Amino acid sequence: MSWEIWDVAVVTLIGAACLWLVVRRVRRFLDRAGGPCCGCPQARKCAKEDRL
Amino acid sequence: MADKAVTVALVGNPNCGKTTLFNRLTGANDSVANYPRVTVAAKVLAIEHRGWTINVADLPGIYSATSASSEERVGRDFIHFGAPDIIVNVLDAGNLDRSLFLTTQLIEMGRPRLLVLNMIDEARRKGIVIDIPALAVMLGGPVVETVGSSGGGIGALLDAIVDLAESAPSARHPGIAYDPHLEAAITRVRCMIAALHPGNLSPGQSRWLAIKLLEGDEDILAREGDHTLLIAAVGRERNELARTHGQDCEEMFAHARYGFIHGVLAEARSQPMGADVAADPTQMLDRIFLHRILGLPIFALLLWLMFEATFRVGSYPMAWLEAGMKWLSDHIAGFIPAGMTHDLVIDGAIAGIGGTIVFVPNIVILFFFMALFSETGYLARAAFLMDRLMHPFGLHGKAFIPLVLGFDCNVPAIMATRTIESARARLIAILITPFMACSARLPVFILFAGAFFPDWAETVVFGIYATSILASMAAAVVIGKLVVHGGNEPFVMELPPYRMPSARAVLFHMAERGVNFLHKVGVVILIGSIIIWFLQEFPRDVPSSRDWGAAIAELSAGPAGPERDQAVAALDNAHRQERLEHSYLGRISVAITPVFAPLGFAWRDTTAIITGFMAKEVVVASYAVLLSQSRDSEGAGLRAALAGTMTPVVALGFMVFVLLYAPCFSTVGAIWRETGSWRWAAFSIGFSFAIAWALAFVTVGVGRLLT
Repeated sequence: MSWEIWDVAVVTLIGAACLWLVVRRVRRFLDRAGGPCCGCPQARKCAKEDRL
Repeated sequence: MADKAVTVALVGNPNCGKTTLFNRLTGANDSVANYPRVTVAAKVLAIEHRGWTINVADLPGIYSATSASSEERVGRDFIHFGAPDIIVNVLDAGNLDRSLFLTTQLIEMGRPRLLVLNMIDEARRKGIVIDIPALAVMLGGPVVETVGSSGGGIGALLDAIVDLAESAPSARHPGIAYDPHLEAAITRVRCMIAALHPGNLSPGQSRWLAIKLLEGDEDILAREGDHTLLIAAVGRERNELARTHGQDCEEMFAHARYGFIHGVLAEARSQPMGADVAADPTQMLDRIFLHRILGLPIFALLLWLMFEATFRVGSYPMAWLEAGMKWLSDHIAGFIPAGMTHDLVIDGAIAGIGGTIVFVPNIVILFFFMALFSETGYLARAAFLMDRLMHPFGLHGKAFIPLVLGFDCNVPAIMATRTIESARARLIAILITPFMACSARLPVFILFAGAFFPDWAETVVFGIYATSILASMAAAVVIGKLVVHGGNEPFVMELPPYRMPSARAVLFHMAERGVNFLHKVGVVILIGSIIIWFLQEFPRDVPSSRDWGAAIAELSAGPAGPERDQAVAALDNAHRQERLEHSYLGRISVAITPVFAPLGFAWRDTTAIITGFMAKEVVVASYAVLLSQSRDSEGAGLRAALAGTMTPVVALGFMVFVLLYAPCFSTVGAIWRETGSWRWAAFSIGFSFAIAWALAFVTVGVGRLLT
């Protein structure tokens, strides 16, 4: 397979991964919006320890 | 016999004259001596005054409400479980520094209380002057002056007891703001206590219990011993606090309480320079650092020195990192064949990360100084000075606690406003916090100051930070007068004693900030840089105003020389500009740019402003990606490339704008949560944007007039 095809595939994969991360971040923000953990930098740590 | 009864408990340190006062009040003749611990058990006698039966309990003298000895337990248990209607806190007026420690704990118990400044005659002889109304406001209860030995002020004390008994209970808590980590631990333990004792305890009682547990009060720990989960959680919290702060929980509480006392006395007491003052280093240093005239210039000088060191010392590791990033970029570029992946990795990811990561040393150095100021106790003095500065504007300093914490990160600063009791003061504090120059904005200022004002960069950054403080003050006044109406609450700025900083705590703070920044670089900035690259590279088939390839080839075919090379480079640059302006990013930015046109910002600056909403560090990453093709190397190259894009006056306007415009994503979330309303979050965005635009406009306008 030529490098051009790999090139497009790699860039598409990275772009899709970034988009997915952004969407996940925004969804998390909206899920917590107005709630007790909205914007809290400790929220992920609390979720891991099942304290939410 | 009167039909109305009230029980009062005389509480105070040993040897503060409680028993003398008890005898004067009740006509009893208990033994009195000028040494402590004359009373070892509670004694109650009844008297009548203004139709009330007053049951007066004389308790053993105690230094604190933590059960260390049996007398202290007698005193503490009578107050907490005997439930007197009023606590009469007897204080030695000549030794308030020590006497008020117990008062801070009584405040936390939340019972109605009355303060008695006993032996006031001796205090006056020493030249001590006490502002009684100010003391009453700050300690949240009436204050009466007495002289137990001669019976002076006894009538006033009885009247005050009856007045307090007849009035509605209002043990207003002026609040002792503990360290944010300590406050977070108190909140977590309090929530567990509330869940274990549903309906039995008021929020104030569960907070008091949480504080006692965290302080390691053996008696309370034994009483709650059945709740193994709670005890285990308390143990974890204590260990974690000791690990991160390098001191026990007990010490942390004691320091905060002495800080509160020092703050109260700095406001409400004046005393001549005696031997006791000269012997106390804290009082001596406060005479300099809190001086009415010299205090603020000293604060400004220390801030300036901090930025000078941040720039000068930081420039060496910054240069090493720049060289390292260039080496990495060159090597990786050699491995990846030319194409989109090559450009994405080199011009997107590495340019963005490299452009930002070089500021880690500056951030770590800045936080070394912040930790040093905080650990020595100077930061509290700085906040105290601000508080004093704001008094003429009718605004109290509690709104300025975020001033100190906000230099670090706005999100925990907004969370720390939970310690403010007044809803109005808290809302003001939340809304002014985004004006504080958080550490995320520091790379932007260092980049711009270095690019446009290389000879006096540190002074420019100092000026930006000063603007940040002034803007937050002005915003507090505007919001207080126009948006959030209401009266001012009394406020005590805690002034902890000066201490030698602990190397462990300073290093922990620096490491925490450095790791935090690197984490952001690895996640937010990496993603942001890649997205910016995509938006500036696509669509690829944009219409061209001319055949650029042919024009460049034609020029290149001409006679060789520096003029030809310059012309080819200019044509190539124009081609790139046109492609960028037709990219998705260019189209979005060009559409918004008219809003910023009066400020002199171009579409590239608009892009940086938009992306900065994600996180303020992304502003630098945006420039790094957008200018990656027109610069040779990271860091210095970025500064050089940036220097050609705008004038110094517009750059200054841009720095002011970035300082003040809309809070980042996380801060908006924190405002939303803490105010409980998206409207306040929206107001914060709109208000800060308007202020930023107006001040940047003024900066650019004045700058253009002067240059």
